[in-house]
Amino acid sequence: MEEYPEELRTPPVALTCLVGCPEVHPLITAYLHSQQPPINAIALPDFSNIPVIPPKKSPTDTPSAPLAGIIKRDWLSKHRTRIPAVLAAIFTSCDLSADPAHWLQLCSHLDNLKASIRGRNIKLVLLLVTNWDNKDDTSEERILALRKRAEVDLKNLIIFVPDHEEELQKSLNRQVPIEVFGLTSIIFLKVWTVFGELAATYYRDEGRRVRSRLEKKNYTSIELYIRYCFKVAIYAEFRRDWLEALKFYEDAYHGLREMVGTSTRMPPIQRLVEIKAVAEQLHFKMSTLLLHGGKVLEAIMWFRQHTANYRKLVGSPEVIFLHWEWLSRQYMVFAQLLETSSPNDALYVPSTASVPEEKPTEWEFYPAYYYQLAATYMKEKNTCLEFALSMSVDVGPIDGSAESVVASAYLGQYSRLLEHEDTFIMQPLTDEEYAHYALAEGKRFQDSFEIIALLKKSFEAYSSSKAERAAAYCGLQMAREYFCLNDFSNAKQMFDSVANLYRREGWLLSLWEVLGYLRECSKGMSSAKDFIEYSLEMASLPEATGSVESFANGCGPAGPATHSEREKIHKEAFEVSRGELTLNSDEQNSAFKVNTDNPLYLEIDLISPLRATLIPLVAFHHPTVKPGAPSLITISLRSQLPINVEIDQLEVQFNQSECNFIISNGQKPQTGLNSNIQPGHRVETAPDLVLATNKWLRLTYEIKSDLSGKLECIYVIARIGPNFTICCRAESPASMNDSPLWKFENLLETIPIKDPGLALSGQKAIQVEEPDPQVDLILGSSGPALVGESFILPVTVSSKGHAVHSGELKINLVDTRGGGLLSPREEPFSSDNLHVELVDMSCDTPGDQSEAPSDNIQKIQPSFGLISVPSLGVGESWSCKLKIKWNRPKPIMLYVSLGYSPQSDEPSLQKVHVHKSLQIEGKTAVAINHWYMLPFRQDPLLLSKLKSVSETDQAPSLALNEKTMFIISVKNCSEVPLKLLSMSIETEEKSSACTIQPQQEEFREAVVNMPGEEFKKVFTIFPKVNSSKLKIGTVSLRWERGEQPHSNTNASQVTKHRLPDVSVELPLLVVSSECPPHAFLGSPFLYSVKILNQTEMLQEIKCSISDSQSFVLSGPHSDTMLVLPRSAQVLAYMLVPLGLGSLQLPRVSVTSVRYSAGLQPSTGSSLVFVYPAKPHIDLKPGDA
Amino acid sequence: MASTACFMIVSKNDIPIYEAEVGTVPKKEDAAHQHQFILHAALDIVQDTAWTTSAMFLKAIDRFNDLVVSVYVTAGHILSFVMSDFIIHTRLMLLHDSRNEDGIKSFFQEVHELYIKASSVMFYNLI
Repeated sequence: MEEYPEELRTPPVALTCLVGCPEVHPLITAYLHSQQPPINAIALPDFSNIPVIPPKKSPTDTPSAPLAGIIKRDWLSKHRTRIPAVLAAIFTSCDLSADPAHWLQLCSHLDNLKASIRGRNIKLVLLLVTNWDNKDDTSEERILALRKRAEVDLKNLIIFVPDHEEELQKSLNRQVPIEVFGLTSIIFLKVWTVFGELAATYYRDEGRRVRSRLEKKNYTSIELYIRYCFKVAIYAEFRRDWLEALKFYEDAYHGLREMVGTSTRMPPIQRLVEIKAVAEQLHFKMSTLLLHGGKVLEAIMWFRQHTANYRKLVGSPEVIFLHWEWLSRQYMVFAQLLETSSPNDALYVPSTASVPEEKPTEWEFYPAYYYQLAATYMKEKNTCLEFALSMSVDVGPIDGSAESVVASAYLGQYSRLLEHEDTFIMQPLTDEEYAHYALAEGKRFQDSFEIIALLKKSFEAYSSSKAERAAAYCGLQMAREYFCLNDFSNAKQMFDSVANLYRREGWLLSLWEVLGYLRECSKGMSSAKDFIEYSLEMASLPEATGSVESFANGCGPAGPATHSEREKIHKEAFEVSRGELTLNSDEQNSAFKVNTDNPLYLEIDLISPLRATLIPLVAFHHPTVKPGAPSLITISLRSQLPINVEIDQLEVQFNQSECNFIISNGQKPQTGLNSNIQPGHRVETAPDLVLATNKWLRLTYEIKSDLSGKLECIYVIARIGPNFTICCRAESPASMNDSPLWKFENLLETIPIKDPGLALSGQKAIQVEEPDPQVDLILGSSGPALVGESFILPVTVSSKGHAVHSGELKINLVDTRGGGLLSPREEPFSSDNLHVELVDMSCDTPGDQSEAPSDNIQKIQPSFGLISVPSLGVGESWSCKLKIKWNRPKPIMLYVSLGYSPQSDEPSLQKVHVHKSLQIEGKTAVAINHWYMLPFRQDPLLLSKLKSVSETDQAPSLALNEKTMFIISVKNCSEVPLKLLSMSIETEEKSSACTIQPQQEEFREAVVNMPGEEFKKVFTIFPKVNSSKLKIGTVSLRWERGEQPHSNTNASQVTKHRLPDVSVELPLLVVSSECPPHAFLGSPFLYSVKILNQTEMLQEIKCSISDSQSFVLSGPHSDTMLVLPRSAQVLAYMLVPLGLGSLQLPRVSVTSVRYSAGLQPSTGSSLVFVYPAKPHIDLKPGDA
Repeated sequence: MASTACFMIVSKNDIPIYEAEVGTVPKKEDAAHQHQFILHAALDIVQDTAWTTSAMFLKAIDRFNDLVVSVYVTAGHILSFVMSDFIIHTRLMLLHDSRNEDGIKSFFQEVHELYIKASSVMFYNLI
């Protein structure tokens, strides 16, 4: 687009001319420029410069003479820069008020001015520059005279006052309040408005004048029609009437189409060149208008139509390259327009293009598409030009005749410039001369760089819009250009990236073509490795469908993708690899030969494209093997190369290098290959190692490994000749991926290994097992553990067949429920919140072991332990004891693992492991309970008991200074008998608070408490202090297992039970009843009830006794009595029993009126046994 | 009038599984290469457009000078339930210069039918 002249690229701008008074020119031109729409101005300082405006030619020139061309080359530029629409003659007020001589000169200037624009419709404007001071001094008559002389209307005379702010200030005060600059602006605005209006009138009139000719069909040839349409369109553009401009451009374009093939005005070659040049210009104008108007779709459709119209018009064969150049330029310019144009709302262009039948494709909206095609046509041009140059012999580098050819006055025409007697004459060219000129011109330019630049733009645009395939095609074209320029490194880089895509997506023909170029590039760069790689890849490609050898012309350097071509490439590659062929680079004058100094080494990994060339599958026949036991391994090799390949030597490498072995070809002498055989390594000989196309070569051998662990085949290295090595990464049949290129090929599929199961699931790695352990690990279990005790667990390592060296015993305690061994609230790590912990590990040190203790590694953590086992000979044993402590009842899993090496010399490699586990329950041994009892037949009245509060959360109340009994019961919850050794109560408060009897009791003989049994012990307590919260103390029970499993010296455990706090209060009343423990029939006895008032108040007590059939009684039956403070009252009854046996005494109920509390003695406390007569045994008093 | 046409079946992994020059223009090897390049480059646009329309026949989706690329995209989301996996989203692509749309469409439909028949045969695994 840059090669177009400026006036064509930019929209036309109205042109004015300022003459005279140069000092105001800059002001006016700057202002006119800055307005919208802008107005250009030619500034002529002096009236003598007027001849700059070209005079109007006499109209008599045109009709008779035949038309020399369609559009004059400089017509537009003339109207843009030299023929103004408005001519402004500028005078100063001094000029007007000068002397008559000066006035006369002014008048003559004006006349000259009028004469110069005569014949043209240029509008004249008078501009009178005056100062504010002498504004009124200017003679009105002179102004009138000037106006009349110039023949201008009053409105076209502008008084211009550009200065003097002070006066303007004054005027501001008395007139409208506008700023100084504002007034100047108004004057400027007036100038711009007048100029604009007159210019519009001028262009309208001019347009109308030309259009009238069109309407009246006042033209003699189609060329004139086109020219008129073009002019009307340009005038319309001056007026910014885009619709009319577009319409007339279209008319001109259509007129031009009619001209093709009908015009005979010029020789055919030049005629077509001219038509295309005009069509190009018209189309450019239309596209610009449409695109700036936002009509992208219409512009695209126009462009498509434009190219379709002219694509077939290739013209004469000798200058066919001109056509492609022209077409390429169309695409390039349209791409640039599409790239640079932004829809402009102000520039409203109504749609005139018809609705397209075929919608443009998505890419047609992108400049990249046009850049790519521009490059394609440029390439076509280049090809045609080269052909044309090769055909014409007489195109010298410097040709005098070609130099004198210049562009002539008409667009798209060229003529010879002849110098004739100091004048230049334009002489028309013949078609031969023109073709000669065009060839000479074409030769001067190097198109490849332009093609690359275009493709690069397209490539980048496609890449940025993530269209990698479209970008790849551009990349390919670009790479081809680099290749043509012998820029192999750039070409190779591009080809490589394109080849990757085609390879990935399996586009065979495309890949073949690209690889062919790459092969040539590597040849050009003397890179034998790349050359061989690309050659082998090409030779291994599947055969393309429908490739026929006879159509070899026009292919890339690879030739057609046929079998014979593949064979040829294959042979060539192997000749180079054997050093029989030297790789010559003509361009770089270098040669490369594979020999001992320059060996060739190729690597084929899992993603290499050369997998089709050679793929090694390795499968062990078994998943696991014992150390030292033989296992079978099958190595299968396949090649898709078109010709059989004979391998001289195969080397199979493993991760355990001592297993590596070499398979040599029995058919071939191993000259030059023996250096690869390392001493001590195994060498096998195969009858032959020939790889046929698409056939598996299967080799099965035995392999042994003494080391446990993974044995994996890593590489299979094939040596062909002394200097060519292919190192392939071994693959498992189970995980082999097919190449996408070979996926759909119609070929016989064979399995790599005869055994189909192995072919599907074979692995290139085998697990060499550990040797079987011959050491016993015994965990001595002794039932459940008890909470609190240190549970001793003996672990014995006894050797049966292996010596134990560098043994290590690992102990792990794991919660069977999966949780940790810590309590749920395990924020701080401390031993307090550990439920179970490994406390200690003690081992028996054999007496004869003189090892220093420092050698014994011993690590203990709460749930983990590590201890080293001393070296043991066969048959020896060693044991240690684990001490585990349960703080809470919890079942745990104990894992013990022993790792050792049977040999003492290589301790780190071969470790044998023995694992054992054991679940151990941790249980609570004893449950301690307690309760309180009152003394027999004695009931204190405690105030707290009267209150009707719920008794659950109330501490038990004890009577002050009264003896209360409490009973501690111990239940054996475990499954083993326990021996209770002692029980004690440790008081917490000072001893004066209460007295407990007995404080401590060591059982003389240990009490054996069987599982589930309960043992009770009675204590008395005598509270001495009135307290609502008396801490009594903690019961400590010392016990030990009934049967000692392992003679532990310190096995007794202490279980503690804290007694809850009690409240102690003074009883208000204490009622105690007394009667003998037994009675005799008919024999009276005394039954008394004693009421002790411990308060300071008089207590009114109601008492009554119920009658009983078993007794006859005497005493108060129902009474109310008063008990004095701190004194006692006794109710005495005499009872005579009438019945026998255990009889219920008459029930005495005592009621305290003050506290509304009654006492009903319990049934148990009011029983007496009545004998029929006094027995003859000697009853001691108190035995009841 | 001689016409150019290159027909390809492209599987869901963008791998061509069938290619044929079906035009009446005499065969040229370089043209076959060129056609593959053009059809391959058109895959980008097919990929974008196939998900924006429910139509299976995408006519004139890309053009290269006089050559036009028309594509028939098989309906993957319907077929995937009843057919085996490899019929999903297969593209039948035709590079042609004739404007006979109806003919091209019916050609595609016929090929599609045959393709389904061929690929539905048990044990005939294309992938």
